[in-house]
Amino acid sequence: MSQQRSNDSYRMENHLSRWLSLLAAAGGAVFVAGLFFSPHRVWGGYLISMQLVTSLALSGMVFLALLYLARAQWAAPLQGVPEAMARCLPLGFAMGILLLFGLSNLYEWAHPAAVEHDPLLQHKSSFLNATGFSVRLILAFLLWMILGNRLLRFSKERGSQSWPFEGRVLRSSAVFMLVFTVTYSVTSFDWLMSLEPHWFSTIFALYQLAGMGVAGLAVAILLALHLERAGPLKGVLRSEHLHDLGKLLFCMSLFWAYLWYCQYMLIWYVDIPEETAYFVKRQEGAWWLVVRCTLILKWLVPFIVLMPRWSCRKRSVLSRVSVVVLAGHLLDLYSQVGPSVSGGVAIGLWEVGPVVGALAAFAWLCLRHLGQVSHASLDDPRLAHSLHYHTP
Amino acid sequence: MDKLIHPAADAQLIEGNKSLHQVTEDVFQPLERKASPSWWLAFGFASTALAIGLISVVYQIKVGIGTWGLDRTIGWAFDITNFVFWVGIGHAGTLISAVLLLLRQKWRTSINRSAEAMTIFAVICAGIFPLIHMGRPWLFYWVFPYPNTRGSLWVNWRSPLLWDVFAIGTYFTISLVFWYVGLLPDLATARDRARGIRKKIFGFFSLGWTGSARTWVRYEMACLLLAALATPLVVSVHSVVSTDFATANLPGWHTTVFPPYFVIGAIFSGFAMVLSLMLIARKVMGLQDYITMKHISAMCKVIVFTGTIVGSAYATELFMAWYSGNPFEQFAFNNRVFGPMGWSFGIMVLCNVIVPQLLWFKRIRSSIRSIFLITILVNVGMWFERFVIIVSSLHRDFLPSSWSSYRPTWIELGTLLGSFGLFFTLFLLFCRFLPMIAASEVKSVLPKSTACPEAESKKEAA
Repeated sequence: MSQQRSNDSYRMENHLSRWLSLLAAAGGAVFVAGLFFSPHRVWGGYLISMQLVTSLALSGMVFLALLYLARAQWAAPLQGVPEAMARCLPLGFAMGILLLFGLSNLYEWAHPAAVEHDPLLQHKSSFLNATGFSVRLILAFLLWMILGNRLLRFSKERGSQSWPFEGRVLRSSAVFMLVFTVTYSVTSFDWLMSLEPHWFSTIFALYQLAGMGVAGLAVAILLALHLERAGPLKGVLRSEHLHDLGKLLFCMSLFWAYLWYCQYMLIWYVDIPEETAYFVKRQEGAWWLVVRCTLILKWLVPFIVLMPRWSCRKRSVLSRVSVVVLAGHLLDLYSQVGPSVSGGVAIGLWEVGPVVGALAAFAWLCLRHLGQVSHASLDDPRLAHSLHYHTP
Repeated sequence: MDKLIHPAADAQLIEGNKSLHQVTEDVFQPLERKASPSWWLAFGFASTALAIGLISVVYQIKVGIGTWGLDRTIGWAFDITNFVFWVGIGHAGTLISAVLLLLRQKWRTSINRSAEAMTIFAVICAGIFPLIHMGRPWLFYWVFPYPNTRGSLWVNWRSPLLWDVFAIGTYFTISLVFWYVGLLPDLATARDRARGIRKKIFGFFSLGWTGSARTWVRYEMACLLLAALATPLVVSVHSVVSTDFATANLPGWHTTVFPPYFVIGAIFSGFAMVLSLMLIARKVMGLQDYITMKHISAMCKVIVFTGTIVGSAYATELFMAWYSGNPFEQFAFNNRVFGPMGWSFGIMVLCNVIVPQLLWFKRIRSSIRSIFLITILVNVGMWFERFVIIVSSLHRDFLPSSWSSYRPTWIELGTLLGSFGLFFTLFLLFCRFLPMIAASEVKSVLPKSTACPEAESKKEAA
């Protein structure tokens, strides 16, 4: 039995739980209503929320695997946060299964009539077809959950004295990262890139990966701050931790912007119609504004605000920047999905409903899981370092 | 309290239970005694290679770059391959000193000095090739935008080649400054130990270092700021170099993943080069206690990590070539793998993707001989990667009547040899005249040093 601190455990407050479940139910209701009134738009919103929830859960797993692989000690008391996020993956899986029923509302290649008259889609049809899409989606989720569960298993041993750094933990983390890299690339081609089935970009998977990192870190920061307010991390979460998390967020956001620029600049420079078509669509009408707002929220704001040392260490600043960045990430997903499902910019009930519902469901599940893992166990041999280190 | 001590916290980075004085002796004595025969032997080889390179360069400048194996289809081959190869090698040093400093990786202290030196020398080697390719290297200053008397002749701001000038110029400057600032405390130690003219020279370059607390505070802040400035440069330089190709409308060159993929490949090749040289240097200079198996293993892990990413980039490129449905893309990649230059693609995949996977195994990671062999193969593979990208994409033009083949001339091979000669000559001179290990930084990671909080808490527990 691991030794527990008295205020170690976390319990979601009742009113919070009520609100979150209410929002999740409302989101579900909007989705069902949307199926009758505006199926294309609501499936678009649904794809965004499914991609978001899956990415958040996966970012928790990746964060965990990287902490193990790097033998990181600084984040020892925070490890419950990525673990709780990772445990939400089944929600993503359930949403993914449901997505399989909406393919024809989202993807041009899912219409046999469209494929018939399009030689390019015919060429791709051995990859872009409903069966292949479903098999790859299910296989990816199964691999993530099986390999991820092997990682999460170690969290029970986290508090014990003989906490193993070598061997099983490192192997499981490395295997997960290898499989994840390949599967996440393929699913990003499937879920998002094939929305524009004529377009292609080799940087696309990496771009999604960076976006996942940005969103995941933002959520992890918000959860850590919530845990501090609610008890378990009170007195444990130090400014050093926030500073490090803030720097990571800064770095991921910069990395994302770098990839955005690489993709845009190279396509703009070479100016081949089949490539520029993607960006031309996203510069027409109000899309121009959506893309600009994405860049401002997801890159410019964190870049300027998190540059000084003090702002990373200030809880109010860091939490606000995280919210802004998350909003930027949602807009980014919307600017990828929207143009191919709804034509013009339309942010209304059909888009917001599913996203809010999915986020609320994710938050509810994640907070539940946070109550089941131990935080800052005294037996964790890495705790001493985490409570003493300095960030210059 | 004992269980609060993390198992890895008291892991020693430096072996042999050194005292602070012992570190000083180990690092500075090689500078003060006569060079060993093995150093002279190595120096002889390196300077001979350099001489061959010099002769080739003088000859080709005198006769013209018609002495190369280029033709109207293959306008870029060996020179640009070598340029990109050397710029890539120059990526490990700044990554080790800047990025690992920001990530608080203390193991970097034993290797950062010489890795940074290699960065600077590699960038010097890289710079030679565009200079030669100009044909009239004495007009090199035309690449800079300055108000001139040549009428409307102005640099082309839209050309990635001009971006190169700025990216590499900035990188070289910052790396040099970073390296020099890091050297200051050790230069002062060398000054304090020296006599006569050596004392004067080291004294001049140590900028009046006193070693007071105030000096140290400023020094550490300067290092931190320089690290933050240098970190984006690690990414920017090879991104810009990749745009030399990716902004061209040529299948095999124009692909959006090129900037990050070039950066990761550069780190991959840079670490391989640093590791191969370190394995020799620690043996020849007797630094086994400082560059331990722990350091070597850590570098191996970086190599297998980056190598795997490079492999996934190759796979993505091949998949996209098929997925795009673009006949030109498909032809270019089909030709790259199965065409007349397919052998070079084979070497590239074998050396960059398959061989480094051996480093997953601990047994391989603890055998110096296998590591050395792997790092050499990675260097070969990364050279071929640039060759594959450049030559195999060019040699099959859009018009079959323009198809061509490429074979390097002796002059080009001599120049390549010369660039290695220059690199090793500079590195050997560095080993001889400057402290190869950052003694002041190594002292801070000794278990006896109180600067380390883990050591402190251990003392308390005891």
